[in-house]
Amino acid sequence: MAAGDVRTAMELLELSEEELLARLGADEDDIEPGVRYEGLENLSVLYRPDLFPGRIYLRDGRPQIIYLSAPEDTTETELRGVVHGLGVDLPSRAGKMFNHRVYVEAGIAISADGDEIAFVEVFPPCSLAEYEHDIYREPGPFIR
Amino acid sequence: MKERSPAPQVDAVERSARPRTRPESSRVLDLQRSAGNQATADLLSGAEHSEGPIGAQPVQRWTETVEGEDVEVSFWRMKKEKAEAAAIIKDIKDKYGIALDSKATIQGIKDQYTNVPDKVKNSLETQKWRLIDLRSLQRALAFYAPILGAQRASSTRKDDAQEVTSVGKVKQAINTNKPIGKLDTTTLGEYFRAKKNMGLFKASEGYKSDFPDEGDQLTGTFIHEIAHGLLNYAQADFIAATDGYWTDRNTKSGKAGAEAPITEYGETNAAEDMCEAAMMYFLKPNRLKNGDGAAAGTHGNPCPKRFAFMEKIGKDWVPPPPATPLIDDEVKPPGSGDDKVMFAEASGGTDGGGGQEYDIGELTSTPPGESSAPPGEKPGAPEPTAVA
Repeated sequence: MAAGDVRTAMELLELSEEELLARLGADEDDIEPGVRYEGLENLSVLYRPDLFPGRIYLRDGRPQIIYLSAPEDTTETELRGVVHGLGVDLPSRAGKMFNHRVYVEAGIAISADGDEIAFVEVFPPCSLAEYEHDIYREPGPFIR
Repeated sequence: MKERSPAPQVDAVERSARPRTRPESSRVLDLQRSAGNQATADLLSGAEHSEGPIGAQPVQRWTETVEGEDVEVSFWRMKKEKAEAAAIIKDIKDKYGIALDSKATIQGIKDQYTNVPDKVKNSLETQKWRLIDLRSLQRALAFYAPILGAQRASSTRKDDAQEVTSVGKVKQAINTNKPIGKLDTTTLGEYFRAKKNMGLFKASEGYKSDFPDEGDQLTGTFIHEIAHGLLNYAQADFIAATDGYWTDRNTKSGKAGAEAPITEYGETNAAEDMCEAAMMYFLKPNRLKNGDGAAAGTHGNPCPKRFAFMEKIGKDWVPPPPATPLIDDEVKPPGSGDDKVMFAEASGGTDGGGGQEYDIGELTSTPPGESSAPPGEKPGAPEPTAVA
C-alpha cells in the first residue's frame, strides 16, 4: 500500500455501493454480509485485493470505513503528507509499542510503531468523540 | 511473604569499639543480627510462620547472588535453595541456550522505548528472582525444548536463529513509548525482539488471573512471552487456522460464530491470541480444546481449531499435550505415590519424541512454605491483579 491507496480510499468513501462496484469492476457477489468492524456493526464487506488492497465496509449502500492492512512500501511520515493538522494519539490494538494516531478532520487513522505501519483506517470526517464512540475500541492494557 | 528490613546500620564509633573479625565471621554475624533479630521479633509478635527443617519458624528471605543474578532464598534453607537456583540457571543455559541476564532486559527496554525520557529509563531496576520464578521458567522452557539449544539444530527451525537467548527479571516495565512514558505496575512480562530477551516483572508476583496456582500462572506467562519470539514465524498460519476469526494480525473479521480466543486477552490481536493459545495448550490442553463454558464466538469458547493448530506445529518440534495428572484439577499432592508424570520431549523429529520424567514436587512451582491456590478453586476464576 502506498500513500496513493489512501488517497484512492478517500475517493471511494464518497461513492455509493453501485458506483463503487462500477469503479472497481467488482460484482455484488463479492460483497460479504454479516460482519462488523470494531464498533461498527451490521456491515457488509467488499474485499477484492486484486482490484483494491483495502477492505471496504458498507452499510445502507454506502462505505462506512475502509481498512488498509500492513503496508510494506510506505511510512507514517509519507502518509502524513496525505493528512493535515495534528493527530490525536490513542492506544493501538496492534501492540504496546504501536500508536494509533487519529486525524478525525481528515478521516484517517494510522496505527504505527515509528515508520512501521500496522494498518490505516479511512472514514468519513467526524469529531473525536464520534470516532471514539462509533468506531474505536480501546484495547486493554498490554500486560504480557 | 514479607519484605524484611535490612540489618540496622551500626555507627562508626560502635563499629570501631568492636573486636575485629574475619570477613566470613563478619558475614555470619551480620546474618545473625538481621535475620536472627527479625526471627525473634516475629516469634514474639506472632508474625507469619512456616514449617521449616526445625519446625514452625518465621519465613526468612535472604538475597544471594547466583551466577550474577539476585535470587531470594529461604534463610533456613539457604544452602539448598541456592544450590537449586544455581542448578536451574545452569540447566537452562546448557540445555536451552538461554542465559539469565536481567541487565540485558533493562537494556532491551532502553533500546525499545526510544521516545521515553532517559530519566525514566535510567530508573529501571533489576528485581530479585524467587525460586518459584526459576522453577516456572525451567518448566516453561521444557515445552519448547525441541527448538531450543542444541536440539534446535535437529528441528524444523534449525535454519533460523533462536529467537530467545536471555531472560531477566526487572522491577517495572514502561507503559508506553512516548515522551509521557513512565514506569508501570501492571506488565507481567514482555518480549524484546531486538535483544532476543524476555523480561519478567515484579507485577507477576502473586498474580493469578488465568490459573488458580501462582506457579501455573508464572509458567503461563513465560510460555506466552517465549511464544512471541519462538512462534512468531507461524503467525500467518495461525490466522488462517482460526477459520476467519481474524482478518489479519490486528483485525477481527466480525464473522458470526467464528471460534474466538480462549482468553479475553487473546482478543487483543492475533499475536496475543496465538500466545494465549500456546499458554493454554501446554498447561491446560483440555481447557483449550473444550473451553471454559463460554458460548461459541466469545472468548473462553471451545477452541478445537486453535488446539489443532498447536498440535500440528507440535508434531514438527513440540511435545504432544501432556496427558498427565497435572491437567485441570487432578493434581495429586507430592508424596501420594503417583508423583511421576511424563512430559514427552520430542527429540528433534528423529524418533518422534522421547520422554523426560519430572517429579510433581518439581513441577508444582510453589516451594514449601509459600502460598498456593486453595484446592478446588475454579480454573480461570478472575482475581484482582496483585501488584506489588
